[in-house]
Amino acid sequence: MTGEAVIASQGVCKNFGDKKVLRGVDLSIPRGSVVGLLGKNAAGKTTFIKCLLGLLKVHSGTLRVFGEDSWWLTAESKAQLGYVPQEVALYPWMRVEQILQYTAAFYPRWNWELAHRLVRQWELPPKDRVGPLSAGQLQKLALVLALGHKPELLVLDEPVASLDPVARRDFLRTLLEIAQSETRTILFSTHITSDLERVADRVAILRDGQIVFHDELDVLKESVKRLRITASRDLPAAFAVRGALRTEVAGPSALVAVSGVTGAMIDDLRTTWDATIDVEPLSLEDIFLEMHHG
Amino acid sequence: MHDAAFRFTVHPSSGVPIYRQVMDQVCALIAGGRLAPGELLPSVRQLAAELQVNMMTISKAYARLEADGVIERVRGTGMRVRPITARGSLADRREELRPLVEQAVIRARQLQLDDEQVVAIVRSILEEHQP
Amino acid sequence: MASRLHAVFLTYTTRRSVWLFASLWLLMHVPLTFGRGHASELPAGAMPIFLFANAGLGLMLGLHVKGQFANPRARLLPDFAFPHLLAAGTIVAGSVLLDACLLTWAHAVSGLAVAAVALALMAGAVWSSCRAGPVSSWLLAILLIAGCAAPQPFAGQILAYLFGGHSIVLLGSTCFGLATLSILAVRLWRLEEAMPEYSRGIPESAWDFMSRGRERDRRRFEGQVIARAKTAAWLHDVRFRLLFRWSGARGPLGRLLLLQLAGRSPGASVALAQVGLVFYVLWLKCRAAGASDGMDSAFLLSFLPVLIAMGVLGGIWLRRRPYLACESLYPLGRTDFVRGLICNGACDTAFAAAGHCAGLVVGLSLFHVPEPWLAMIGPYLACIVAQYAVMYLVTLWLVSLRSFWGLVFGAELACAVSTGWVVAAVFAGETFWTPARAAMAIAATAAVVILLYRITFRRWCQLELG
Repeated sequence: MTGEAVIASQGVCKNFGDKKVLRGVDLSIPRGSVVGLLGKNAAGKTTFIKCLLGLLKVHSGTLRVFGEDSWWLTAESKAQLGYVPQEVALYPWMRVEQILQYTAAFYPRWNWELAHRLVRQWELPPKDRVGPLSAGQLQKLALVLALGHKPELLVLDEPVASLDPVARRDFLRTLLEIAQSETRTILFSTHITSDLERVADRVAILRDGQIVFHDELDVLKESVKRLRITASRDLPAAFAVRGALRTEVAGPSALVAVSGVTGAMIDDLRTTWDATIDVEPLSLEDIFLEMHHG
Repeated sequence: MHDAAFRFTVHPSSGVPIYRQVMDQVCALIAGGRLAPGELLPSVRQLAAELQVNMMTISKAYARLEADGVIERVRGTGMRVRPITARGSLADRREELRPLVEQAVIRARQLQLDDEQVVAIVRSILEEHQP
Repeated sequence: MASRLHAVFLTYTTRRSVWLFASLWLLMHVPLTFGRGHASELPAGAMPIFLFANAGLGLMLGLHVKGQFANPRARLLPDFAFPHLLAAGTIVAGSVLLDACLLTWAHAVSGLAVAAVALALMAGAVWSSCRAGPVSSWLLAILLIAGCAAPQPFAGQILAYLFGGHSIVLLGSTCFGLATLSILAVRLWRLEEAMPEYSRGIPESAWDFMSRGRERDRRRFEGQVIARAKTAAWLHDVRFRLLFRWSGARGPLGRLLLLQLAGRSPGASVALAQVGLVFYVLWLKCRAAGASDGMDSAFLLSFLPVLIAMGVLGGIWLRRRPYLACESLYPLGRTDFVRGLICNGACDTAFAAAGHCAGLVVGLSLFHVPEPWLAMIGPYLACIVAQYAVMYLVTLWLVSLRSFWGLVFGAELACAVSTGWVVAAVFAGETFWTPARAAMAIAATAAVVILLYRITFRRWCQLELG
């Protein structure tokens, strides 16, 4: 999983009029990783992804994809790129098979076997026009179109938002199959954390237009924990732990969500306050909630 | 060998990282005797497909287990459970067992079993698990 | 009730296009009221203005009301129908009254007749835009052609007759207008019984082409249109099969054809329409004023096909904007992509220009054209082609503004200016155009076209498509 960064973003800022959406995003995604981009609505996930693909212009900072500036991507880089947007806009007057043929005509390499297999597996009606398709089918079709040319970088924006649980599990299974390739990089933005926990090996959390965390998912889970402190005497109101995300103090007990938990810290707390400390692990959703508290 | 895969379950949303869950389960299966020494573990690909998680996670779990000396890599075949060799002095091994037995004894006291009943249970279990 | 009515009127006043249209409507009434025609008392061009003002207002109103009613709100909110219908009715009555008052005060026409005709016009327009299907385009086309291309003396006579206060006109129009409006009102009132699928119909946002985040509504709208347009769908299938059988879509030409297919470029149909339109204009001119002195105004009116062609094509490119995001991710560099788009549009424009010239040539060869004009036909055709090129580039630049009204006004302005140049060039006469001057003019035109191309190209290269 070594190698140069497929996506290298440094200090990327993007404004929409007066509204600052991205305020200096620093992110570097290595080749072969599966990265989940997590953030609240309007945190700037879609904006960042669109900047990445050259659909929006970056106000300041550099954003490089495959080593090239994102606005001026060459044809070769685009042939390595696959994108599934949040709102899928496909020509509604074309039939499903026609749109596959149409898209295939643009790319130098196209895997018809994979495309046909997915269409069959996901029960997309090949003869139907795209307009009347349901949102879920449209998303699946968009995924087939993004996968057909075997892209090295696959970018997905809320790919499972409109899928029912069965379809979602199907989708994730396919994503896992794709992720097996060592050189393929996947970036997907979502707020369904359970999917991320299965599929992603790295997580990037976007808050207020900046990346507040980017590392392996396991590291995140091991470093952010909730401490349940029961002291022998009342804790002061200004009780604080270094790296605390959220603190609740009620008499002698306190509930603290801490980032960067170490054994030394726990021992220190135990001795300072003469307390018993329970360390609770947190799921990704809980971590996300704690990080966005206050 | 396919059955082995069915013995694992993971909870992706629990606070414990998935690789650690797999590691703990492998250790638990070995300790419980369900995975015998010399038995082959399911391949990374197979286990990942079965549990529907990223292959990287499984290979990380296996790598950590290998580093800990619990399993070993067999070239061309996969990962195999290492035969358990007695490591450390007698005193160390006793110290390792003590807390587990202590837990059982505390529980026995809670259940209000007296010493003889506890010893009888231990003896019957020892007879069941002859080496 | 008063507060509800106030709230309903707020939905009108908070909409920018309503203000724009209202001011346009008032503006249109200025020449209508204060203009003085030479032969009759009504000014020349009164008919198209009157037609457009009332039909346009009716259309806008109909669309707005449809946006209000084609929504689950209409069935779920209590007492929804009455305030909304009352507000719409007030607007209709108000504008009809205003029309009648203005025209009666300015000219000697029967106020009642004016009111009746205006009512009938508006009722027809409101009906056509408010029904359960999309606005019938053929109705719009008829209005357009009848209004604009109606020859002057005929129009004046027709108008004089209509406004003369004849009882048959009065009765007929009033009955038609009131009947149409009442039926529509009743259908909207009893929405559940009459049109159960109306609420699933075209939502307000589908008409807002440039709004972000309305993709789903727009897609649903287009899906409905597709489901109804069987012939267009069949035609598309045929084109698709042919394209892939012949070229296999490789190489730059193949890619160009693919983009044509994607844009649903009407190329050939626009050309045909242009031929027909130009022919019609010429026929009217020649029939109306006699062959000799009809020709200069015929040349003047030739801006109309250009404007219409650019309007149609501009509308198509505007509708295509949301799909360009996905298209820009195909493996083409940005400059190649923009160049492909410009070529794509240029093909359509070439078709339109060819249609225009063909129509002109056919028409002029069929009708008797006096001597001095025949010599100017060649240069005139050249000027028309140049005008198309200029108008195309300007329209493409305006499409990048993402503003519907910007496109409309900008295109009309550009058309007026370019027509002015064309007419000036033609009327300068044969003596003015020495070879030197002609060469200079050609060079200047070429320079302008190249400059516009570079400006448009640069702008599209910097345009955010996401």
